[in-house]
Amino acid sequence: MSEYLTVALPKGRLGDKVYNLLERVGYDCREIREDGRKLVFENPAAGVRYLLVKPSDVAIYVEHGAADVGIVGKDILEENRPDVYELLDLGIGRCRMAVASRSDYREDTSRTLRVATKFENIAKRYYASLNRDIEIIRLNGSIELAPLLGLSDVIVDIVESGTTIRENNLKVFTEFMQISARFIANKSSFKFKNEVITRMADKLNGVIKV
Amino acid sequence: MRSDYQTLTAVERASLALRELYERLGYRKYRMGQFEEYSLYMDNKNFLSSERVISFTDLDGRLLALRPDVTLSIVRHASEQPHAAERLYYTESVYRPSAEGHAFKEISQMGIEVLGEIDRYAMTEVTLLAAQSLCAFGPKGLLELSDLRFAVGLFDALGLKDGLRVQALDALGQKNRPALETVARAAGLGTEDAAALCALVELYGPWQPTLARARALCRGETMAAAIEELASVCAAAAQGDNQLAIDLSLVGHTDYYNGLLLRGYLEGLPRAVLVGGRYDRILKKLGKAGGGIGFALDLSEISRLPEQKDDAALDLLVQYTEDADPAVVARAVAGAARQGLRVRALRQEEDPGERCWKDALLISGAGVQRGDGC
Repeated sequence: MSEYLTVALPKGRLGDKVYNLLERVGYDCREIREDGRKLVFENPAAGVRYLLVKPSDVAIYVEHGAADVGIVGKDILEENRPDVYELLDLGIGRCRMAVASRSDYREDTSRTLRVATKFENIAKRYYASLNRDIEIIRLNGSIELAPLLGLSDVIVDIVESGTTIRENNLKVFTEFMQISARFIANKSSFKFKNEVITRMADKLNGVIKV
Repeated sequence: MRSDYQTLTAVERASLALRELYERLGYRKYRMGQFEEYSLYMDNKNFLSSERVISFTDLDGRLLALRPDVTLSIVRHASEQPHAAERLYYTESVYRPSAEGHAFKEISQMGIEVLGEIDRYAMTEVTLLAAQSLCAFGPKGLLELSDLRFAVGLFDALGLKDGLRVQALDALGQKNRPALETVARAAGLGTEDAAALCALVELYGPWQPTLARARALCRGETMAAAIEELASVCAAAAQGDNQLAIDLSLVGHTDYYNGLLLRGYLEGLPRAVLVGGRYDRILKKLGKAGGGIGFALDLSEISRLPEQKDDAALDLLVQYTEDADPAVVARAVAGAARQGLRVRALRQEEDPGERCWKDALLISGAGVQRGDGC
């Protein structure tokens, strides 16, 4: 093969599930698991080059053509709306986008709602669909602290098992978006490397259907 | 010896070649004023990719804007030609918000517009010019064609209502089959109808087999007419080095376009560099007769292509000492420039940096010595 297909993969918790999935369809990822510091891995036999990046950066690499394809959570795609093709729902890394707050919280609809979140655009769109006036408090982590300390009325965040929410004495009030990992492609790469991208998508599709 | 032409970048050279090509085919250069009435964009904001426009109050109190779109201005100002098509080309800047930078950016565009009676030949000519324009920039190019009427015709046949229609268009633009399946479920479509809707994302590839597959999905005259028109245009435009493909999931800006759609890609660049299509609605909205078709090339994006550069940044480095006669230095520099060489004069102790040069001269009070290239 004359040219590698460059695949942006997320590090961290979703990453492990993604490497398992790729190995099931014949794209060896052992080297990624073995080496803790390298960020670029090549698999000449499969004709792929993996880039290991922060989950929230996967779509940026793909949109700008630094990677041809990538695997990324639907939350990141909804938040940033990159101009990419979303070819498959891989069905892994399932979770929900939810509104949560203190378990004794009662919404005062006469006041502007203070919403703490790192998903600013998703939260804005959700409350706009309800025609609810909100004030966004943009946080980068430990979102659960915000309602406990009175920083916000509610949080909008990802809920997987609900353990973090429960352990911080919070309660989920609404779940409004299903999230899972998606296989995405750069629009130009999809035209010029269509055969290899389609082959990878077909193999992944075969496994997720099973 | 280097000609002035060789000192241009590859994109500048290609732009000049395209200008010549467009003029040979009877396109007139259309030069616009720098600013446009702000009201043009506010009255027609459905045609813009973003409502955010750079505006300012002119000294006479008029509210003006820096152009976010060329076509609207051309349609508004170009004179109407009864029973004829006006052919125009332009090289202009547009100003649009950058999605990532939270700032406006200037985009250099080159494009053509045909206004008036748009027949099958005019569509073929514009498609051919789009394919040839991509070829002018060197690397492998691909021109994709679609027709908005195909997807919209299917939505009509399936009875998709407004909200679901918008969701379906979004899903198509992303080739997002799971999202289309969700739309099909929400619309209560039966198995066959849902399969037809989802099949839209698969309708891409070489034009002949793809249009053959598309024909099998046609429901009604509008969809059939779109496929027949695409087949005719492709058959005429598939010539020479032109690389054509069909992608019927390409739906573009549905307020702007109403029929044939064009998207051009160059290998090595991550996004479309050519965008165009049929835009009769704009003419109707601005009270003009006939239809319109055209395309724009994003020269700012194309200029990101790697440039084949000569290793030596200079042909001649002229170094001079403190006691050198400035007139001798000036004559040496002027002589080299007359021969078309790239030349630079520096004091001997000055660091030429990392620049390379083919030949060097050292001029001192004692005379002129030839040095070495780097």
